[in-house]
Amino acid sequence: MQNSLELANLIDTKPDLLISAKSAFPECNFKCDFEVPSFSKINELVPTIDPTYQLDSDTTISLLAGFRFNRRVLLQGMHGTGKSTHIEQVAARLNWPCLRINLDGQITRMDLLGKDVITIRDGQQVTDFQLGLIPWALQRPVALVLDEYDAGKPDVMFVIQRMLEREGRLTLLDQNRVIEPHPYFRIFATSNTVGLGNWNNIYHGTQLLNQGQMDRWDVVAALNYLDPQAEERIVKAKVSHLNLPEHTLIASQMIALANLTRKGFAAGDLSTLMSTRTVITWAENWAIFGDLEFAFRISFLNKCELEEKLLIAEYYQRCFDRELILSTPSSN
Amino acid sequence: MQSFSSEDMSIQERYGAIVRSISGNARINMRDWNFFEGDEFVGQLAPHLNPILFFESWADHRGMLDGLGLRLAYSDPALHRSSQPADLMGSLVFEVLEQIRVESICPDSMSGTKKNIQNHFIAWLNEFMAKGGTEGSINLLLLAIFGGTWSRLNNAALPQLMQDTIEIPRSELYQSTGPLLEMLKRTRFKQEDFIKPALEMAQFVSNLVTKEYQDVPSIRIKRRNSSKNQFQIPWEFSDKQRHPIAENSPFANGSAQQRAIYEQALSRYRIFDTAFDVEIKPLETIRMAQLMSFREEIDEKISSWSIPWSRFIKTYSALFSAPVNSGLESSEEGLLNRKLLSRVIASKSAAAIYQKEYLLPKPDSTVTFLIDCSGSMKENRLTMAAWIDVMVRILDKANIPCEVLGYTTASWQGGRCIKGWHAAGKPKDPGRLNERAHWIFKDFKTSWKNSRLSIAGMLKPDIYKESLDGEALLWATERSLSYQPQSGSSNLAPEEINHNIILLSDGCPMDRATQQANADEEYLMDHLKIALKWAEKQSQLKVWGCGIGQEMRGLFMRQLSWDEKDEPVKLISSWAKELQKKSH
Repeated sequence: MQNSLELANLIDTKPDLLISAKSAFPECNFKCDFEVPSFSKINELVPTIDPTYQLDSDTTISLLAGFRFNRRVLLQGMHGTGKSTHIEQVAARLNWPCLRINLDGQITRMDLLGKDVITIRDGQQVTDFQLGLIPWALQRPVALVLDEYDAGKPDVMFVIQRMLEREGRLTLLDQNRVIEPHPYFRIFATSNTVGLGNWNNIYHGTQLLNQGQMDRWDVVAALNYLDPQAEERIVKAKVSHLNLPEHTLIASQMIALANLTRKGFAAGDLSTLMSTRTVITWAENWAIFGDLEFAFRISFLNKCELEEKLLIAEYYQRCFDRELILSTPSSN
Repeated sequence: MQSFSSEDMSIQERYGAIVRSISGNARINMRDWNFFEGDEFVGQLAPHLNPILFFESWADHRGMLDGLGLRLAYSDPALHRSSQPADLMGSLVFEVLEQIRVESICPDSMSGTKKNIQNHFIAWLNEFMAKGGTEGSINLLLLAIFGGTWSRLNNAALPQLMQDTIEIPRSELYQSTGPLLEMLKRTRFKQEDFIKPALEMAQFVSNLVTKEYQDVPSIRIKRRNSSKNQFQIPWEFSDKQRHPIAENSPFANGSAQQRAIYEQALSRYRIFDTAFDVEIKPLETIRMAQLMSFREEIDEKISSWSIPWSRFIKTYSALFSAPVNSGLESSEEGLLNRKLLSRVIASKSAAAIYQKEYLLPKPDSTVTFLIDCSGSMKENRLTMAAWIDVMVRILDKANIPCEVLGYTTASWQGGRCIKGWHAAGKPKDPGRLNERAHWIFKDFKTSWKNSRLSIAGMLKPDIYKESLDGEALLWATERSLSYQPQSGSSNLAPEEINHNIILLSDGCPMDRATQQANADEEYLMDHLKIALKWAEKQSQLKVWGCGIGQEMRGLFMRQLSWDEKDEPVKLISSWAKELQKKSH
């Protein structure tokens, strides 16, 4: 990535446009307005715009504030609410280069900051310091998205802590170098929990976050599931199969079913729920297999425990007025 | 002990889950075929949702559950209650109209729900007709009003026979109700606006009925005599259950505040004389030879059950344990262990030079079996003792501390206490008036092996007398909460331990002397209710009811199944499931 000429030049680039938040995001109906810097040219780090994506008004304005005023924005929400995509889509509309790092449990300090690697130069073995993603991004006008922020290991998180302060410099001890952040470097994160760990046993592998670190996030935006109409629009936009005239009611029924599983999940009756992503997968599988019930079984039902299946069968009956047959030939 | 099968329990659990999902109210639960929000009874449901109908073959259970779910989702109970008419007939009509309203606005996307509630409503009206709904003008009037409103709001036709039946009253009523029906339909999406026409309709029906009664003053008597199986709408006007604590403030939401209120209520419980109360250990009072023969009986019973011990020990061990940090172990990743650095030099392939924390399950719970030793339990004492012995043995092998306690009275009819009361000139409201006897069959410290004979003491028939459940529950709670883990056995602090009390009882508290001497007949029952509420408000404590009789069953938030016919092996497995489900 570092070798690409265009990306190397990124160091000297700056946003060259100022656009009004209201006019750039007319669908969001913001209550306040300010000008947001944006880029006129795109490069390979700029995500592509998904015209079907439904931006959430509050989340969008929080993210725009992050871009304009250099606020650190943490996006919290349950899985499948489209947190990471939301950040990418806002960045895409500003032509802002975007870099996503998944902070899973295996990412180490060295991956982030850089490490000595042995390379062959002029036929000789030499040790070279390879810059990690963080110092690389820090020097460029890049929106760094730390995905699964609450899954990162505590020792790794302290590397990030310094960067969370605005104009926070990064010291690379291995190289005796201090890196000044680029004035248009931005940092965002997404997490499932609010730093309190795996409280209801669904987000395994999440960690308790240091409160000092939580405190450094200027804006914490919560992204919940969309309202049924908006969700229906997305699902219909993604899967053309649902737009056939004979299928007009089906999308809303699928979403009603997803909403029942979400409420069941919130009440602790189900251990898994249908996200928008699941609904889309279900609709896609339906288009592939031509059987709504079979598609439901393979897209969602098989992820559930036997006892939960009984409840889901009840949900299915409520939405489709048809009994979901639980026993499959193999289970008989 | 009352039977309460695990299938029954799982159906109710599922029914509760359906209502929770449709209504979005996570606090709804179903106990003893009634709905509760938290521990408050969800009363005053429209007659076609009356939980009694779950036992009727014609009722569509799904329709009832969905109707309740929609009601909770789309209707504000406070607003409804504040506008409710004061008279019986008016309130009934108002209630049914509100239910018809919420059912009619069920979203199209839930086509199954729509069908379920419609099926059930029609089934209910059919039943109404079949059981005499067409006899008598009032019944016919109600049928016409409910059927007509339902049909108008849902844009659906009633079955032909029903249409024909209500055709005449409907057309007679049309002049007055026509505009009202139109308004009801127009305002059905907004409860505030719907109230006005609904009240007018209720008033209209109420007036007609009053007139009818005036015209024929003996109609009520006549109807009662005419046919016994005549359909009557079960309608409870007020949903205020008899609550033992009058000053239960709705603002005291915090559990500490609520606990304080219950504690205050508990402090009002009077005991006439505690001088004769005893705490008894079987080994100290029952002859050894007798205990040994009891033990033989128990062993014989258990051997006939063929229990797969090791499987259950594993299950229960997992159930009552939590992973505890148990130190560091060598691993291929984690923190570098400097003690192992030399290995790298000795063998380059040695990868396990790191260490990381590892977690081991350690017991984090206690279990108390609190057994009602009242006269009615005497009959089943052998099964009960054998069953308790099996459970204790499993828990003991799984290293879960457990206790077996029994409660009864030391004598019948008040014993020496009542004599004292007579001598004192029978003061008014003396409070509890009997000699309390608390039996300790096994305490936390004694192992199963050392309490085998002591548990056999449960077979002694003459300990079974009367019962003071409230005091016993408080006693068991106190003992359980003051349990101190033996040093070194667990890294848990006392406040991290989960306490479980399993109350095995077949009925309500019963002490004749107390009942007769006190003005309040339900004195002991109320005490048990408050004691139960208080115990449930304790953090780290769970009270489970098992075999509880009809009257008290609804009050237990957590229940365990009990079925005499069931194989013990099946019962142990279903208990494990039930304990796990409601533990969180």
